[in-house]
Amino acid sequence: MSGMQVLIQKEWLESMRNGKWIWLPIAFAILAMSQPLTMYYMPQLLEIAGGLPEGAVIDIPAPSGEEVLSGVLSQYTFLGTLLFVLAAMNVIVHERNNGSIIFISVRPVSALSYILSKWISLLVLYLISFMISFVIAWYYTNILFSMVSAAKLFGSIGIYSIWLCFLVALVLSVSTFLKSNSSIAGVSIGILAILALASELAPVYMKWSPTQLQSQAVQALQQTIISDLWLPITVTVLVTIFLLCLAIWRMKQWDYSGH
Amino acid sequence: MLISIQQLTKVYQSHTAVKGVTFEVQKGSCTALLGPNGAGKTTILNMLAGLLEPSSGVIKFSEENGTNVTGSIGFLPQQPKLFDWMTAEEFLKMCGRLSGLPQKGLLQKIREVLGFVGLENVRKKRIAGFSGGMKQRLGLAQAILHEPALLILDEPVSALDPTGRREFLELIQQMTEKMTVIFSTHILHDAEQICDEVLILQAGELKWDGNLQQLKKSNDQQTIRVKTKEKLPAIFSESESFTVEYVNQQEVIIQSKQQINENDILQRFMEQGITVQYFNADPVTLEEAYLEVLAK
Amino acid sequence: MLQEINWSLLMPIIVLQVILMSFALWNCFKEEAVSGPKWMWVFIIIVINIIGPILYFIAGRKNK
Repeated sequence: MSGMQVLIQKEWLESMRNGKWIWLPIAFAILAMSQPLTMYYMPQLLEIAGGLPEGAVIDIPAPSGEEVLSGVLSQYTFLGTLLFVLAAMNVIVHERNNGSIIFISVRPVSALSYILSKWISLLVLYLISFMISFVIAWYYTNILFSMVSAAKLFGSIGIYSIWLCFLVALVLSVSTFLKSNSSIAGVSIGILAILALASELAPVYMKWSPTQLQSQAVQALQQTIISDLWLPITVTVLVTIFLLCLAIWRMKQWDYSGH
Repeated sequence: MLISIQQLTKVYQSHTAVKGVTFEVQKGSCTALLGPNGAGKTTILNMLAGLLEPSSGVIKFSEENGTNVTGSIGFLPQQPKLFDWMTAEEFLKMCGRLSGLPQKGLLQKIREVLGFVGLENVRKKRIAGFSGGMKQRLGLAQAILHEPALLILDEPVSALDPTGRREFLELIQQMTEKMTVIFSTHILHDAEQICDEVLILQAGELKWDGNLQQLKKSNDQQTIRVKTKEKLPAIFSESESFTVEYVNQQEVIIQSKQQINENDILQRFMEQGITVQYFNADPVTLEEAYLEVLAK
Repeated sequence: MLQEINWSLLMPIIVLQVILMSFALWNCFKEEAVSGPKWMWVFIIIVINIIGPILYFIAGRKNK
């Protein structure tokens, strides 16, 4: 296990040096801020863009704080997920394709240590980026709209964090099978899109789906009791463990000779 | 004996890269894996390093004092791609820790190894700015840092310029005093400089296994080459003890498994009044012996 | 119209955008292995707000 610690330090150093620890949190902070701000300035924006007839009164009911934060979460569902997938797609393949992974593989390091080091490092970066940005959005929401209780906020963060565990495991697992960045991103997003679409079309049959956690993180903001919460959480945790095992199994089949 | 390899075979979908190779590596020896490009050298070394699973066959490491050699291998791949964004010291620190070296005393050890390969003054510099030769030296440093019992080097000098080549070979030679070394090359001269044992490989098959002196002797045919000014008359009869091959009208090659008296041959030309412009009776060179083995 | 806008609310987001852009530009100038011409990336980073720098960090560098 000391090997895993060394590898996590390596991942940390790498993402500091290539700037991932700077640009990803900033990108999320901007994404989170822009939602409450655009909603707050919506009347002015409409006025500038629309050129409404003289004397027309815009009367949009001010949304509640819960609604604004839900809007932030739905931004994450699309743009956030896209960023998370794109920022994770090359963490394994670039080492594998250029051959630098050999210096690790030739040493007594288990596939378990390698995969877990990647998973933990990415997850920590993602959780921190997500949490900071969501708290910023919460701060703005409280100033501009109505107060949302911290309990609701953290409930929502908790549920969303489990979804992130799954998301990172999925991308890592896919990237042990494929060798190009674009195909890894494509397949990962494809799988997520199918799950989301299925939940949309046949919600009754998809109550177990990990994508369900995204909508439940929204529900957690609006009500205290969330329906059917434990089923998707249990399934997501199990699927995450399965995906990590799959990645470890697959890594053991790797051929390092370039054939 | 350190390693014994039996009937080692690697089959890929389209072709067989290594065909039933059997050999042994003695403890403390230096072995060169020699052969043209595509002979299967890299495949064999990758299997030895544990990076590649053999299709069949056995690689057996001797287990001395209960310590398995598999965990004590130093490997330098062909044209290594290092982690560019690290400094030399950070890279070696990671390698050392992953090899199980204790944190205590590691930095001291890294300094020593960097001093040995001549990179001490760039230890805090990023690898991205290193030249090819420096990267190769750092590659060697990571392979010997944990003092492995077996050092495996895949084409360690083929990408270096002549000076870098000589210096690197000297480093390897110094390592042979401390550990067992096996390295691959397609250049005979490299092997000749530092190794006692050679394995000659072609198209996945082992063509020769032995030391260099034996290789020289294996080709015991004596050859004399003569070029003359005049056209050659028939000075040799059918019943000579050697074979005669006319290259052209003014050049002849004489070969025999038995000892030929060089003076005797030269005398014959003189008696005929022929002007000899070139006469070569040098013993077989290693290069010729090597080509002979490949041609078999 | 402009007076109605509370600049203390918008300032943080503008500052972050400037940081993101400057960091991308600095990284791009320093980077040796940029995929495609460097001036193109400088152009993208400056012209396309937010997305430009992110695009550079994801796709602009080789082996990173």
